[in-house]
Amino acid sequence: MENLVYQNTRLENRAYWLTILRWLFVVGVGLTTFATQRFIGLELPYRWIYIFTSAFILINLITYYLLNRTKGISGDNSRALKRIINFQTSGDLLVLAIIIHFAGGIENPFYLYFFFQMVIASTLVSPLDSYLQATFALFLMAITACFECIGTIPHYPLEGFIGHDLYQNKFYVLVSVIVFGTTSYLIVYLTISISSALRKQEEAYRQANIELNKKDAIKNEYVLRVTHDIKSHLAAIQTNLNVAAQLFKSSDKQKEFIDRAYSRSFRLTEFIKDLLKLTRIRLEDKFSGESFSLKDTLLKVAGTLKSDATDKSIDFRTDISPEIDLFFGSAFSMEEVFTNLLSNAIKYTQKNGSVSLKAIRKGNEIHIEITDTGIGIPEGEQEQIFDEFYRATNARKSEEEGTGMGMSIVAKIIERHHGKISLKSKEGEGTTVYVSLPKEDRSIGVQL
Amino acid sequence: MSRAKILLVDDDPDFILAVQAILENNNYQVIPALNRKEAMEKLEAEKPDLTILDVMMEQPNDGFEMAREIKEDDSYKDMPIIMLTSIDGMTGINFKAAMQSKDWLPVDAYLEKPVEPDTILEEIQKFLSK
Repeated sequence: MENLVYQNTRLENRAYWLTILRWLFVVGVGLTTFATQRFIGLELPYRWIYIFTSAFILINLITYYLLNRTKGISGDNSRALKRIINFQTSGDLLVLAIIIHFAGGIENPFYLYFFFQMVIASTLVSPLDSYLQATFALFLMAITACFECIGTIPHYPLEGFIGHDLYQNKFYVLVSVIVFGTTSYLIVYLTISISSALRKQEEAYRQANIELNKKDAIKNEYVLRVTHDIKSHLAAIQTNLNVAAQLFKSSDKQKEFIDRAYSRSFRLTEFIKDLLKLTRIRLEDKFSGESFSLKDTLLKVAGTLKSDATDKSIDFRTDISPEIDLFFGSAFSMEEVFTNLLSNAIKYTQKNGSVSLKAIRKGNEIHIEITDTGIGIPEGEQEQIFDEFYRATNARKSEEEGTGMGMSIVAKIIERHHGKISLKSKEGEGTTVYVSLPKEDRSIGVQL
Repeated sequence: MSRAKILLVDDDPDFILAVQAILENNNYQVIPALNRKEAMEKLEAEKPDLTILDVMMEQPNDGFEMAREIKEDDSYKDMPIIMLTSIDGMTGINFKAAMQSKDWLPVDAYLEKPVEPDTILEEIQKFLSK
């Protein structure tokens, strides 16, 4: 069905395109005739030439009328459209043959224009119709040439332009007709085979695209289902363990094992959540952007994480300039980014250390710095920190848990917002993460 | 003070059992329901003070539809609904943003499974102490 609509739209567009070409052709023929009359001064029946040139206008008007009528037809109107294109082609050939007859007949090199008609028709109508059109062209050409040759109809010579007795030379007329005929059929044959090969290829691409879209939908459905099922089981396990650990009296030994099981199920859940987040960011080719206050997002994140810092007696400072207020992007993702970065900073900073969040505006950019006095990232590993599943060796050795996906999620989101992220770190001394974001880049939501 | 009644709707009996234990331990009366139909019947019969609802039950959007159905009914429109689910952004729905529009997702809070007992108790207290 989709294919049909596509085919029909293509035919309809082409039918209109032909009328536009015809308008240009009318102007072209008119000007050429006028120039011939005015500047070359050939003796020709100009009145007839002008009259038949305006017959092209008539063809266009009839075409518009017919096209309008097909719009009312519901369903497949490709046959009607092809008939219209056939009508246009035959009409053009007939009118062109008549004009050429009045302008020198076989002496007129404009005969070659017939070939345009054949190329165009061959790409649009059926092969049989294309061959019939070529035959019609050949018939028109041959009959005018022959009748002019034997004197059945008058000949209007292009005097002074070309040898004016050529039309009487039977051998010349015969060869011309043969060459014209073979050229026509060859053109039609070549055009049909090239355009049908192209059409097949195009169709194959379209089908492949439809298949891809279908598979994509199945995959999304599948991921959703799997996510739901895995997380449902985990949620049940975790909640039940929680009840067992907290509500019922159990021995220390029992409690220890329940706690271990709980902690592992908790970590598995975190891991799956992160994995899904990352998958989602990779699969989405766009997200809906909105204007929101980045300052509020930062304040919110800082507020949420303040207690974690206080618990470790970490000196936590924020310096957020009011100038960075409005930002265009995904508020949800930005919260994710800064929660990740700040909680990392707090997580990997020892007791009594310090963490700071600084945000300023620089021209059209927002610069955010998160500095800690934590364990730092070993020199050789600073690049890898943004890789999926990568955790720095000293982070792995520390007591802290992590999925190794936080930084790659952060990097992907920043990238989506056309921003940049980099870091400076020294093992044992601390880390500073620099994020810069374009202030109001509205193209973000459109295409990424 | 009579115990507050909570309607707990989820298609996972293990989950229901555990959450029920937590809630009952905190002195709430729990009415469990395993599907939408049962939930609507119990809602009618028990007139709970609050409902905890899972998004995906028999149909992927049973929870959403049920939330809408409840909030459209004048007798329940003031009853808080806490939506609890294990699906997240994968559906393309950003719940936090969707909650801004009450017509679309007419719930009062949204929590992602698995949820810590303290978190869910806090949420419940927030609504029931009003």
